[in-house]
Amino acid sequence: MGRFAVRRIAQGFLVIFGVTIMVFVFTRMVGDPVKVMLPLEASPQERAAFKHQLGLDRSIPVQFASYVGQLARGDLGTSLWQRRPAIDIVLEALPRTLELVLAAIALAVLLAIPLGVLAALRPGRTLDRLAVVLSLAGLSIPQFWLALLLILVFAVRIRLFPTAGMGGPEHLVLPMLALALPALGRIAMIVRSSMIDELNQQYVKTADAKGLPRRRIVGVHALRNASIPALTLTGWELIRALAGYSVVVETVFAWPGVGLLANQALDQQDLILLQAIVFVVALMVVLVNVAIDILYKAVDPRIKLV
Amino acid sequence: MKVSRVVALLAVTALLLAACGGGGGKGGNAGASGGSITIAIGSEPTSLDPQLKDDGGERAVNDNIYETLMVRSPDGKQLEPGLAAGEPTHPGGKDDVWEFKLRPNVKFSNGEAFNADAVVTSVKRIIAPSFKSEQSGFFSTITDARKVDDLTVDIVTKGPDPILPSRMYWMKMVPAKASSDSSFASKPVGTGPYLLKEWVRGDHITLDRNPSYWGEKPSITTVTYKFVAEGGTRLSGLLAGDYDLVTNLLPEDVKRAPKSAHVTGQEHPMIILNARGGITADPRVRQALNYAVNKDDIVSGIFGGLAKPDTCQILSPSFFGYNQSLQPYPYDKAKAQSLLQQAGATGKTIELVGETGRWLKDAETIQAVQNFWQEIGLKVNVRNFQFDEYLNRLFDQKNRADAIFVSSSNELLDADRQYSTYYEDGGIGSSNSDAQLKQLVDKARTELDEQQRQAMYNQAGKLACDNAYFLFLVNNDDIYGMSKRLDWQPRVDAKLLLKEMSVSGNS
Repeated sequence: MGRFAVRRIAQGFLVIFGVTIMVFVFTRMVGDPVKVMLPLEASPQERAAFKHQLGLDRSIPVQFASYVGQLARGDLGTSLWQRRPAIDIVLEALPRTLELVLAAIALAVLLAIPLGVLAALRPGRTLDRLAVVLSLAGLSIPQFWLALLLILVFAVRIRLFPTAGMGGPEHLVLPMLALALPALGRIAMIVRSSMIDELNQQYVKTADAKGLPRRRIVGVHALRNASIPALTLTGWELIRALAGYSVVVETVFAWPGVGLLANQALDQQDLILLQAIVFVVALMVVLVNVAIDILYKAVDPRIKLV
Repeated sequence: MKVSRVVALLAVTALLLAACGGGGGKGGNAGASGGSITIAIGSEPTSLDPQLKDDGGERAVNDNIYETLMVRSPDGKQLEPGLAAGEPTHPGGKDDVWEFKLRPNVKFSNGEAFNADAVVTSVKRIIAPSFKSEQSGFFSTITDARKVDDLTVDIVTKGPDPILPSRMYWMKMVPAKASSDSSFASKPVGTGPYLLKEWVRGDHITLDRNPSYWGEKPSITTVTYKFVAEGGTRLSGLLAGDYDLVTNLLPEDVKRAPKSAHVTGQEHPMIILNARGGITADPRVRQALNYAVNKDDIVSGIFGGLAKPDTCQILSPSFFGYNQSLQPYPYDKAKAQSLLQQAGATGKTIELVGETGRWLKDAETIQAVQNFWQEIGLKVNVRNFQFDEYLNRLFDQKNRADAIFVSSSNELLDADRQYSTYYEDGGIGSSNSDAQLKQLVDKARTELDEQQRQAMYNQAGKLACDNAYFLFLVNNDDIYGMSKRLDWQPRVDAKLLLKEMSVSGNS
């Protein structure tokens, strides 16, 4: 298993390298940070001088060569916007995003599994209907809107939680819910449908016939088999939360993580910082994928890791 | 079917709940009592070095820690001595040197004296190319600063520069020694009424009153800045009583806020018309485009009444160089149609380049203009671009679009910036080749006599108005949301000066 993980991470680095190169090329193609960083009324001379100071007047191949050289030395460059090493800025924000995303996905999984299983036990009955409605609501509400709604209801109307920002655990609740609810909906639906499949399998009938307690059949045998698709989806949710949804949720809740940072870096056309963010997030995605593969093996020993 | 109905019901319920939330805000219990307030600003400062960045978050905080040689009255019209002891003069009649006498007995918060060394350091630091200041454009005319005696400094400019006193209202004074410390950007040392207490990155900045401030003691003792990018979240925080002051409140949210305040700002959304070629080369067409648009409709329909029609110039009344006698083009559809007819342009297509999302109500304004222009018989081809590509079009002097939407702003409150950028041939956003206008703007830039300079701008403004080089639209207000207990009158320069704020008991 150790060798497997090492190989996957090595492959992952190739992916990351490719992604970083693409980001470099695309950002250079579409954006000129100088235009955005200086006031609109700055004169052409001011613009040219500033561009020169930042080294952005060099040709793209020259910039690329110096970029790859830096990368080889583990240097992700200095943020144009904050004038600090880009990697420091990203690593400051990363733990905040991890805290938020891991809490949200953990909450989603912990609630989705019982919800999906209970719904699958009696398909079509009230409890199932309710679970389906809740799941559908969770996964179809736009996250942006859901986030604002949570603030209006639980922070403005009923003043249970702060409206935004980071601080004590009470600050985590609303952004966590905004990230968790759609994931919860999707995971619960998957658990439900694969449980329904499993419960119709022959081995369940056999176990029933030989008198195994229902709780054991459902909770151990069927759930274990049904959890493979759920695991795949959870990994996918984790990746989507890290690399996508966190941008929206962190922006609305003023949660100073990587998502908000990405939004600001785009706003500021900070190419260097964007590259660093993509690099770190891509690394996270690779790690999550490796972790999920290893978990497959733990759930189902028949799966071979190659 | 059934399921979707339930979802719809849930959504409606949620919306209703949310709508009720609007009335729930009482405000007034943010922070502790005794003059502590919380302000939500749109972005976190990236550095607290007051000379490095050009960003609103940094300004919001540092305007209270640092001071400048010159200051402005809240209405922007009076430029007065701040850290300077009086109005600057030209020593020995040299018109490229401004001499500042400094206020005595002022100290920086670390004990360093504010003196000629501090001013010389401040000037040389910000204009040094190696320092890469984003503000350097404000000071591009300054070539040197010289100490005359301990409380006298000469600032040397490239030729006569009438705007220098205004520039010195933008340049924050830093201490001669501490400003070279590597920790200066995170541990600010100023002469101002407030001191940095703590900066928790990503979360908040807290300032305390400076006990040894040389000037009048301000009323607010402690202020906490929170960084909230999303406008809806800022409003929610205001309603929940988390904040006492939020910036950039939307016109439509004014009614929901516990209290709000607004002031004529510096933003002028407008449209540059191409006088060099195309359909807009004919002045009658450009005039028709002005007559065609009902500015009052835009003020009330789009800006909720919180804007004023521009008076045929892209300047606010608070700017030096504002022409008092110009009047807006009245809304006159019939006249617009007949002018268009005379020019033989009826039924032709006009290209309008714009963008969306950068400025308040930009998309709505562009659409309104499109409709007004269509009503007088033009085909309007609106092309909205992503901001970066939009800037390419705005700055493209070779292929000029017929009409380009832009919102012009001017922190120095001096007409030169607008005139150099948009009016004068050669300016990056200019679309005319009016030699007379160019001559006036060039001369005014170096005219030290205020009356003569004003006269040149009056003439230049009238020229541009008569020739309709722009579609003049509106000057929109800056809008702030406030808690009930906060007493404050916003300034035209948008500075959030804590020393001008106070809180009244617990309401």
